[in-house]
Amino acid sequence: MQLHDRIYRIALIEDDGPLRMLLSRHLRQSGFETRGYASAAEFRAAATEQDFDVVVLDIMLPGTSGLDICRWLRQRSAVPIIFISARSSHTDRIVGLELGADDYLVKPVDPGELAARIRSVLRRAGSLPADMASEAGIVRFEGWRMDQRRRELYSPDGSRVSISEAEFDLLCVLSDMPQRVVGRELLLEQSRDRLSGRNGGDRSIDVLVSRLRRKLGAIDGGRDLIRTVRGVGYVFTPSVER
Amino acid sequence: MRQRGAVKRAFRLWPRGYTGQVTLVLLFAVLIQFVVGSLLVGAGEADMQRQDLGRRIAEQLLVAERVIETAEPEDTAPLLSALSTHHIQIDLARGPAPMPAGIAPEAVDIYASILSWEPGLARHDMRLAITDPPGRHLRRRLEGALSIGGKEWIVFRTLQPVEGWIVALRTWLRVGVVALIVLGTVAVLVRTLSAPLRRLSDNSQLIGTSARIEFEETRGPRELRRLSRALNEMQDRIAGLIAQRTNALAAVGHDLRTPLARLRLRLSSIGDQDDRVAGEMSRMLQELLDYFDAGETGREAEPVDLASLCATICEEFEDLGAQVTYRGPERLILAAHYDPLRRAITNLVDNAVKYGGRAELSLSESAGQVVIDVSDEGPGIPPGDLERVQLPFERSDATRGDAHPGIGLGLSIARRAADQHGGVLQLRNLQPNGLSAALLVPRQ
Repeated sequence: MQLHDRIYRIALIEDDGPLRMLLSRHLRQSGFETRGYASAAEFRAAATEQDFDVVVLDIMLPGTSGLDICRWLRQRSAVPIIFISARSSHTDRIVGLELGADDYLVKPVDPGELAARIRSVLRRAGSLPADMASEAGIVRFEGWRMDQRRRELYSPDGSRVSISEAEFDLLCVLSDMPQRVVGRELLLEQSRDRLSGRNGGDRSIDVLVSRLRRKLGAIDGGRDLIRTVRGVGYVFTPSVER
Repeated sequence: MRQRGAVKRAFRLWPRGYTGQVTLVLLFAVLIQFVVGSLLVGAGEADMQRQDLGRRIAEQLLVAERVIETAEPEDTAPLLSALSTHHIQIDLARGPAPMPAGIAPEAVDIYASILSWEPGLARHDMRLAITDPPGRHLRRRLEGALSIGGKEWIVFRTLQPVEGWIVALRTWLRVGVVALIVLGTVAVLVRTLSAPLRRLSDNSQLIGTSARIEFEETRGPRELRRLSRALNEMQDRIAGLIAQRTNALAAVGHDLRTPLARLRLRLSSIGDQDDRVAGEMSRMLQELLDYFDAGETGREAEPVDLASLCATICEEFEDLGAQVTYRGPERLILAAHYDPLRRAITNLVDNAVKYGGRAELSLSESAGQVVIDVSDEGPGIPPGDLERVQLPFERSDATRGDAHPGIGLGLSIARRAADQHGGVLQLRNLQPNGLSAALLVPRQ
């Protein structure tokens, strides 16, 4: 979980010039090296020469659609793909994820949210063997099931439990490092894109954890999934299967 | 009033259903067939009976005539009596005519058939009459006398009734039974035949209410198959038109998103924290696109923990600085469509926060019904507007021109979500002030 060991390279394919420029600038400010491409052709030419860590794709592009690029990429590599689309309908989302995308965001994209999602897919890709990185993205613990791509959480009795985006990210980080003490600093670092501009600090992590714990705790035994280590951080107690 | 009632009752005699009407028409047809048929069969049988009777009488009379001509006069009387059969009694009478002259009008036909069998008998004076034995109305008999040589009479009388009412009745019965069987069979057949029509009319009532209704184009009579195809094509055309409109609007909405995203990013990049205008535009656009999406459920209903859903929505509003509290159980599972429901509750809370300042979201269950209630302490909605504000693009006049932008779709989206779950959206004003917006969803 050392995200800062190196600079991650992001490819941003978006046909709208100003939006591409602004998003690139934001991503750079978030610490990513970002290249923008206006069309599929431009990106393909670049992709044959260098590797990217994450590809952010607009679905509606002139000429070749983002879905085609996604298909083309998937034949070549397991690089994490995040779709950005103006279309929010459920079917579009499903199609995107079925094609092997790792996440799906709807315009107008909040830059903080995009950075958070990029970190989240990077963490997932980093914590798994390369060939599994873009597989189902399903995490199981104590009967709970977490679909990381669709960002859905199911309790042991099969019912869908609703948690916020920030809580979901937190759960992702914790479940990536099961049965280990995770420091509050790391959690804060992982959540900074979302917590920025709010009454941040250690406090907000504690609030997130207590909310998450309450929702998990509605099921017997759920409250003990996340244990507090006083003054240090938290431990995710169950063993995790993928 | 009374007349109207009478008209109504008379109208009701004419059945409304296709089966009833066709059966009634057939009933008339069969009735006519029955009457005419039984008349014809009856006439035929009567004629046959008459022919038969005439032949018998003719034969006996011929024999009697021979007896009188050939036998000794003292032997004739017993001999003639001996000619009597089960059907006809024959006697000899001497002296004056035993009955008045002439042929009774009812017996003309029988006379004709006697003569057609034995024309020789025309030489003699024959008299025929129909008698009614007192008290036995239905047993009319034929009586007659034949003069032989002017002083001897052969007197004859039938022992069986001439016109069998029994026979006629039997005929009627037989024809009637056949008619009834025909009518019954036909009624069943008509019902079977009209089944596709009934199915068609039942299904056509569902057009436009839910998903596409597929009409069978391969079964039933040709006309119905044509109608089914026409209905299918009509649905396709309607769906096409709607899709075209929706797509056009949605496309505009989607196209607006890219420049809007650009606007927001630029605002935030120049350090302008107050991107309220862009935020409002973005929310209005989202509202519109949500409304178009609300029609599609996306996937099957799944068990959803409403308690965590409500709590999460409350927390999200709290994080934005709104005062929203959740009151309810820690867990409540309902088979539901997650996204539409989430959108609906979010809209209700958003309204409450906008107009009421603060909101209380409560979740409860009673009498097989899950109640998601959002109450605020705002001004409420004028009672006359409570129904109207739930329609698309309608806003209460009281909210027009105020500081809260919107395009009037929030409640429509919530209402659609309620419909999707077989429930209702209930709006009511609270005392002394405030509004309660509740989604009432039945537990299936």
